Amino acid sequence: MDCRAFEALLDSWLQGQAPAKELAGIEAHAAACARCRKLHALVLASLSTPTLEAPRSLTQAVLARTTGPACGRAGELLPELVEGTLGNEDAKLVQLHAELCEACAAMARALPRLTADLPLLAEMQPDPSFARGVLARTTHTPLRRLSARIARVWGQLVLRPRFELEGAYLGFILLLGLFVLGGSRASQLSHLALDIAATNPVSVAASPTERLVTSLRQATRDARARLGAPMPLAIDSIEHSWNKTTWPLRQAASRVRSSFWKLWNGDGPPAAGEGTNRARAASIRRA
Amino acid sequence: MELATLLDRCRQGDALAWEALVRKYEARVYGMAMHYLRNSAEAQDASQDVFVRVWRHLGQGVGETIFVPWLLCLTRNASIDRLRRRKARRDTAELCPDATRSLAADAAGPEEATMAASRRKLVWGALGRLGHANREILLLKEIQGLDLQEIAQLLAVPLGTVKSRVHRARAELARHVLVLDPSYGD
Repeated sequence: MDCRAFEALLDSWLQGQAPAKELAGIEAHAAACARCRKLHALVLASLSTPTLEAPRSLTQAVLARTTGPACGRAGELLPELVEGTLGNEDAKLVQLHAELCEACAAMARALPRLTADLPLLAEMQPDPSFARGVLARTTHTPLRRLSARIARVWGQLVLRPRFELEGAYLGFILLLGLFVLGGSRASQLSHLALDIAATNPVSVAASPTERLVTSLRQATRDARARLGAPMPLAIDSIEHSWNKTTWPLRQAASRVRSSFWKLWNGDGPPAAGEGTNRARAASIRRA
Repeated sequence: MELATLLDRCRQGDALAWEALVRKYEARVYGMAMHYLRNSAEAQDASQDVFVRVWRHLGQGVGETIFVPWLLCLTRNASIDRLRRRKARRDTAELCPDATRSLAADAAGPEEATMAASRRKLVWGALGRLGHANREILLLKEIQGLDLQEIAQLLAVPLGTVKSRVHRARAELARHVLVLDPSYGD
C-alpha cells in the first residue's frame, strides 16, 4: 500500500469502517511509514479536542470582506416570511439571519404588529355634520341643486393653479377683439375721444385734478345762471383758496407739459390759448 | 339591514335608506380620503363629492358584490383629482382626528386604549413618510382589505407587480416605524 491509498482509507480506519481485506495493509503501512504514522497521530488528536465556538463578529467580518451584510436580502424576504408565503429553505435562511442580526429581528417583530394595526386605520369618523351635508346635497330641489352645482364648478375652476393666468389671457383676447381689431365699433372710441377733446374746452393733456376743477367751475356757473343769484360766499371762497393753493403746481405742470410736447414734436410747444387743444389733437392724429 | 336591501330601497328613493347607507360607509370613505389628502377639510369635501356621485349613479344597478370596491375606487379617484388640483402637503405631524376615539371603542380598557392610540398615531406618522405609490398600495391592501386581483385592476398593473409592491411597501413602513419607535413590536 502506498501513502495515497493510506490517506484515502485513514478516515474509515479511524471510524472502524475500513474493509477487512485492507486492514492488514493499512496497519503495515502505518508501522513502516513515518509520515503516515505522524498523520495518523494528528487526526487522532483533532478528534479528541473539544470544538470551540467562533466569535460572533467573525461572520460579520467575513461578510464585510466578501458580499456585504445580508440585511438587504433578508429585508426583502421578511414580509413573505411573516405572511407565510416564503419557501422552506429561504425561511430557514432568513430565520438564521434574524437570530444574528438585531435590526432584522426587530423588523421581524414589527411586521406582524403592523399587520394587526394597519386595518385599524381604515375607518375614521368625520365631523358629525358630514351626513347632514351629504343629505342636503342629494335631496333638495332642482333649482338649489343647479345653483349648488354652479357654485361648485366655479369653486373648482378657481382652485386651478393657473386660473389667474388663463383669466388674464382671455381678458386680453377680449380687449384685443373689442378695441384693436379692425371693424370693431369699440376700436373707433379712440378717434371719437380725440374729436370730443378737440371741441371740448377741457384740456386733452390736463391732469385729472384740473379736469375736476374745470368741471366744478362749469357746474357752479350753470347753477348761478339757473338760480339767478350769486352763489354763497363759502363756495366762492373755497374756489379762490383752491386756485391760490394750486396755482404754483399748475404752473409747474404747464411747464412740464410744454417741455414734453417740445421734445415729442421736435418743435416749439403749441401756442397758448383756445387753439391749444385743437392743435394737440391734430398733432396726435398726425402721429 | 343587508347591503342589497339598502341599495334597492335607495334606488326606490327611500331617503331613510340613503341616510343609513351614508352613515354606514362615511367612516370608510372619509378614512380613505384622509390617507390620500392628509387634510381633514379636504377629505370631508372629497367624501361628500363621492357620496353625491354614488347617489347619482345608484340607478345604474351597482350590485352589492361590487359596491364596496366601486365606492373605494370613486374615493380614490376623487382624492387623486383633488391632489392634482392642488399640491397636497404631506403633513406627517397632523394627528389623525379620530385615532383615540375609534381605538378607544375597540380596546378593552383605558390603558390599552391609550397604547393603541399611540401606536395608531405612530403608524399614521410613518405612513406619511412613505412615497405615494407605497402608501397607496398599503392603503388598498392592508388598510382597506382589497384583494390583490382587485388592486391590480384598480391600478391597472399586473398581479405580480402588486405582490412585489406590497412586500416592499410593508418593509419600508416597518423601517420607518422602527426609526420612530425602536421598541415597536416588542
